[in-house]
Amino acid sequence: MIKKIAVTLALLAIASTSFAETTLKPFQPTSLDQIEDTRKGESFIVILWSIDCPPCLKEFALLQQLKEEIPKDGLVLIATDNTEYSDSVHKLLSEFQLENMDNWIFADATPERLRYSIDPAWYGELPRAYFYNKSHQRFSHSGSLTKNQLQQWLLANQ
Amino acid sequence: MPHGSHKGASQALLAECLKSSTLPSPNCGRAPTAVFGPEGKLYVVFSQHGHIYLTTSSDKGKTFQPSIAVNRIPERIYDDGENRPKIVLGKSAEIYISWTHKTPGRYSGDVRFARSLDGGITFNTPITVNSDRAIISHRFENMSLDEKGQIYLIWIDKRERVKAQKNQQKYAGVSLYYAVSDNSGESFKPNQKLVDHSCECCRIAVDQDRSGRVVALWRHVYPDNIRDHAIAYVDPNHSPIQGLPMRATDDAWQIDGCPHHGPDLSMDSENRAHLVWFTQGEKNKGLMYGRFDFNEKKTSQIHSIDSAASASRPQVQVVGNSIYLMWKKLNDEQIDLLVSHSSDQGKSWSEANIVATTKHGSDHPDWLVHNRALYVAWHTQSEGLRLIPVTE
Repeated sequence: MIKKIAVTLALLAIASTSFAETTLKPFQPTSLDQIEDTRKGESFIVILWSIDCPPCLKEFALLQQLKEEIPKDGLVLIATDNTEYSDSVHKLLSEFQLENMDNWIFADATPERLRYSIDPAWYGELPRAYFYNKSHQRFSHSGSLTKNQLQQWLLANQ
Repeated sequence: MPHGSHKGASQALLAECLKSSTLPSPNCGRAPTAVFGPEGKLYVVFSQHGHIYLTTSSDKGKTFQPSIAVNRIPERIYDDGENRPKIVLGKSAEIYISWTHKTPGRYSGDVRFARSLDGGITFNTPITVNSDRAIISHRFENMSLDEKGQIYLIWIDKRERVKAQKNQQKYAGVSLYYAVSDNSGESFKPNQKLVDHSCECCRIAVDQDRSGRVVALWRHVYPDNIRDHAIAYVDPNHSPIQGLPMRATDDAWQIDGCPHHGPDLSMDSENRAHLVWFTQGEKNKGLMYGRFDFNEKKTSQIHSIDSAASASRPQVQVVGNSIYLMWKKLNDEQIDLLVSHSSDQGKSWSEANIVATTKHGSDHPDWLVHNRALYVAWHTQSEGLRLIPVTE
């Protein structure tokens, strides 16, 4: 029995280590404030996505392609799948080499609350992007971004 | 979870569900779907630990009989919100159950079906209904019977898109396929295509008209990525819909994205289709109601149910001469379930009435009708599966 517990604990330890490596942070109602606070005076993009959203992958392919043009801390990715889908979320991020971005995952029993904390006017359609300028005025976009759109914004907000 | 992601309520928070010794139950399982039998017995299917389970209740969901596993061999199952098991009862105690099995690929799945001819004591080995077995999407199935008792399964199918891609052709969205069984679910006739270019990620609504013919409503991808809704009779004697399918909603919502928010449909005694849907089009935004007339090929009595971003998951049900609407809404720290009705064919609507609330995660609500009495079935993390009477 004790052996069994030890094995379980060891497995848990491994599981939590690999989870830490994914740097998938739990997104809670105050998380957006935190994201904004750590980027004072900087422009950045927040993109909400889900493992269940084919057009989000189109967006990921684009982000992967333009990765070098995005400044450090310039991209925040928030998966709206809840934490029980962490593995699938991490797999997709790695596949598109986006695992080193600032990655978050919805972690609240009432996801409606999280959506509201991000934007009371967002209906939840995906992908959803928020473009913050240096003074943190933001505008939003629903649906996939085009390469042109993204490049132009990056150029204008260097 | 409403739009955005279509996950339903995740792990239950009820004390009974936290004990490992607890038997499978609709309170602790996922995506329970309920239907009343002729004598008022409640049948519930739900997903738990890789099984679809069936249970019954003789006291309107207060207590449940021990659950029976429909699939003996566990498998990965889509069981969140827009993806849930379905149950339909035949005229002679047949129980038909369908669900989507998650195959290894991304967005991939197979439509599964099992039946019981002995009132749910035993089930046949589940069958896969889609004849295309590529590891691609055959998902979001829905089920209906027609006047002859034939079973219709209709689902979102990616095979046409894959075919087009192989030929380096562009293909908007995916397609709808269906299959019919005329032998009480022993087997299904060959798969048939209903239409090309449906949206990829929204459930399909189905209902029977007065004479028992099957009607489907789905989010379509009209030219230039306009994701409004289409409606059609599902008739196995017809070839696939050519050109653009009949338009049921016209909001001009252009989006290269996933609404994850399918429509609902209820046919009335005059074969008019009562529709509810979610849109963010140029013309309308939020939760909408309308009544589609097949003769005029147009939707009238369009009514904005709730345009707030915090409102989601509209459902519609016709009972006698009344039309009932239901939806979810975030209200500060809780989620409210709201109901409004019309007794004058949608000319006027009652004020929204809160019929239930929850403080934690919640699944999509659904209607249940028994002897003209209307109930809402709602699965929430902290309360389990509830049956809430709306009319007496």
